[in-house]
Amino acid sequence: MSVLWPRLTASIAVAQFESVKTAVPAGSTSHPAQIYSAVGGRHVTPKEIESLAGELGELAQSFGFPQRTGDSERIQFDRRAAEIIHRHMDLSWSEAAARDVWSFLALIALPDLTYWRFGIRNIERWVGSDLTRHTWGRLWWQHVTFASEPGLLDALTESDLNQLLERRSIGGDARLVRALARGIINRENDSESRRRLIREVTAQMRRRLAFVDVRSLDEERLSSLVSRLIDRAQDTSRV
Amino acid sequence: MANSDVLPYFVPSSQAWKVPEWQMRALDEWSDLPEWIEGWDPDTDLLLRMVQEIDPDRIRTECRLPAGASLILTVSWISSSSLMTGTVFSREILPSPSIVEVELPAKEIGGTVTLVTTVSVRDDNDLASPGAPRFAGSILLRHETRVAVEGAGAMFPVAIVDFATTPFDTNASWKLEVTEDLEAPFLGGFQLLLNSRDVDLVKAVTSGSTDPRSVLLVEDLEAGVASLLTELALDFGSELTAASEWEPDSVGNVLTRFLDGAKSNGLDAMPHGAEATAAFRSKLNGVVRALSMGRPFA
Repeated sequence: MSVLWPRLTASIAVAQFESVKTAVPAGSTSHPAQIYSAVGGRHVTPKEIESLAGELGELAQSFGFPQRTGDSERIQFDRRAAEIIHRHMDLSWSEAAARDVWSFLALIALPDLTYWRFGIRNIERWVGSDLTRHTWGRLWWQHVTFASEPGLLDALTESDLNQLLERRSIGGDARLVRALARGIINRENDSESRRRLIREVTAQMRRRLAFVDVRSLDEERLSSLVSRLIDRAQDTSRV
Repeated sequence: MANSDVLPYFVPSSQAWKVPEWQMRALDEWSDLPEWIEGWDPDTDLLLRMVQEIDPDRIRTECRLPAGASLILTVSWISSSSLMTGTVFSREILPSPSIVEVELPAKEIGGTVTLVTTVSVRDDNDLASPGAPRFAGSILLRHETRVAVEGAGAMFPVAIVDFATTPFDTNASWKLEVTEDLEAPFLGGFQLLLNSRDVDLVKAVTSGSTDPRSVLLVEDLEAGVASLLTELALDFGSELTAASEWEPDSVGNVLTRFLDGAKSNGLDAMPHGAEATAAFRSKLNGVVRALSMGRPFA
């Protein structure tokens, strides 16, 4: 049975964010205005929330928390944290798509870790809106997308992931995302060149999706399609 | 929907296949797939089937494909709650008629599920005749059907909260949480919160009571929420109409329905000025009633 986590609806989350901006509180397991989805499983227990916070806290400490650390350490933290969050949060995909679940996690359960990871300037990292940007929601979904090939996730930068996942026509198809990631990693290491390449190849793929059902392609044919689009994108970039 | 899009190659006529008619297995029996599965258990996978009847020779001829070109039947799903997709069937088309059974994973689907069935070509064809499909995966036939597994029974998810613990006015009866992300799933972005301090309203909504006072309270709530949605739709007007189509059950899709309802009842813009505001409020009251929401006239 899936587990339901508390939700903090948008207005309440924004008010809580304003409060966190003045003083970051310690993590908690509940908020008086939290709600739950009406259907879909049992409620998570306070002990389970503490267990997630505890394991993530230990991981963060191994990467320098609570001291400020470099991007590299925090990105390595993300990669390891994705598996931990997914293991502790046995959510249905509908529940994991609920923005309010992630607002609760950032603002109530893990405010100290959220602050350490992204600071307080960007509300999208705290209040769930775009789940490819939220501190914790994006990691849960990254794990789902790359669970069968975790090495791919390790090889991608935050910018790469944003470009691959932000358009739902591509980002909503985990197999397609992995095929694109595989093809791109094998071709381009320079971050700026890679950014241009992903932008061009995802644009070409979206045009192709208007008349090609990529879900009908086996792995070999999908890989071949990606490879040809990358060839063309690289030619375009050189012109 | 079958081949309504204009594709850059020849596609077969509609006689080349029998449009899939899906059935669902429930309580050990097969029945036609409904538009809404009432009481769906989110821990139980959805077992569906259809009879595949496809004329491959006719498809190859009408699409100018080589005689031996392989054709693939693919069934996939898109979930409105997560906008994720998955493939549940993809293989070379079977001799017709054949039964195709698929299982939709309960943990991954939600909201309204769009079931997409395609017939496509398996291989690239670099020597394609003029007008023939050249790329592997080129869609020749396509059909979509939708089934709501969550959220079709109520207008919104409703939750009860003490407004003293929120930024909302403690004397307010309700608050509709909204999102401005028109592409977001509606049920993920809109949530109706009731103030637990309004004991009568909470009781009326949660008990389903048919006593006259409870009915009036619920009708008043419904009218208030519908009015707000209509105002939001008018506010978003140009953005809503700029898109040719919104994903099913997205915020844009639902608000467009309210916009259409308002326009068809003569309300097409937000007001400016005292007189216009007064006239707008009166008109809005009528529009909501015309849309069968809130308290009807006796």
